[in-house]
Amino acid sequence: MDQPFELIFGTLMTFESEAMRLSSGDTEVIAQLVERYQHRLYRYLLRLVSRPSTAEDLFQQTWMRVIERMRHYDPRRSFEGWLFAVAHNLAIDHLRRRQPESLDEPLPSGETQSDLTRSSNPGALELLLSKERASCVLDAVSELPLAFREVITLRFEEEMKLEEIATVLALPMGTVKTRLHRAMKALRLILSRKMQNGTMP
Amino acid sequence: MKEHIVVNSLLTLAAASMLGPAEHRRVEKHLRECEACRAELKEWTLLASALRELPTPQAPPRLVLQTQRILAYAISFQESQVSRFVLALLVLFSWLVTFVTLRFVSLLDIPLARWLDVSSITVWIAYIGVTWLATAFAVGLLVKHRQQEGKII
Repeated sequence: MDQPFELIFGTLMTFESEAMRLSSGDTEVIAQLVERYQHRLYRYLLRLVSRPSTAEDLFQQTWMRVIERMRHYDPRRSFEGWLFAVAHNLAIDHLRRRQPESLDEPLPSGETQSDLTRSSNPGALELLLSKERASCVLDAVSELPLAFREVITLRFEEEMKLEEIATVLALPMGTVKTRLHRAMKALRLILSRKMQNGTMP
Repeated sequence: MKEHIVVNSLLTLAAASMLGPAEHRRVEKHLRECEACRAELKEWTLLASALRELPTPQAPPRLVLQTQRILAYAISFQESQVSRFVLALLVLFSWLVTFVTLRFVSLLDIPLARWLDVSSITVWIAYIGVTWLATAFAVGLLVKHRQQEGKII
């Protein structure tokens, strides 16, 4: 009977004590955190920068930044949100240096974001997603602009709540909602276009 | 019609479970009477579930090991910097103690005090020289030990 209680509160206490140990610079707890977040952090960075070698560099830079700033880390704050915010800032800095990209930048097809906010052919999506959806959706996500890719991955892959996404991206919650709405519309349009062009599997 | 447009624009967020309680109730109410919105929400939900089920790329194991090693080294380096600062403070403190004790002991009426004649410049130099050498030797040993630790990591 007490098992769920212990499971939930035990986990919370573990996280809290780990956060305390992190701020004191405990190497063991940092190694554990690297292991725990390895796949999620790598996935997030990979979705942002697309190139595995760059994602690996940013992965290491993120943890180095965590070490540099861990003495200033507030254990009452969510570690996950803090970690992803650090990764976000580093990835954005990197992308700004390499390939300046903004929400107003046209997509590879030449369409602008405002074009994408228009609804695509209803009904096509169901047919589209009934096929080999993982590969086609992943392909379509990679065609989205950075700001859209990021909000999509934070919500659906990292399963972050609205408040957490707003913290990571340092944006108001209303902006996060608008961005997610536009990202989903854009994604649906890309998927529909792929189907019309016959580039879908 | 206006309600349909407003609710229709909320369907993406409904599929993403990002609606507030008031928006959620509004969408639910409209969906009961609008078949077009129900069909569209089904599509968005399908897309949302496809996004949730995307395969997770695995971080290469060597990346994790390499990162853990780099972090361990970085932490030990940070600690050694802190240690150097603490040692510098200790040296300053020991100088202060040396000065104060010499003055204090010389005021006592004991054989050592008579020997430690502060008015003699030779005694001053000898006393400070010995404490300085002892401190420098201890600091040197500690720094060397720290450097060896860093190399091992």
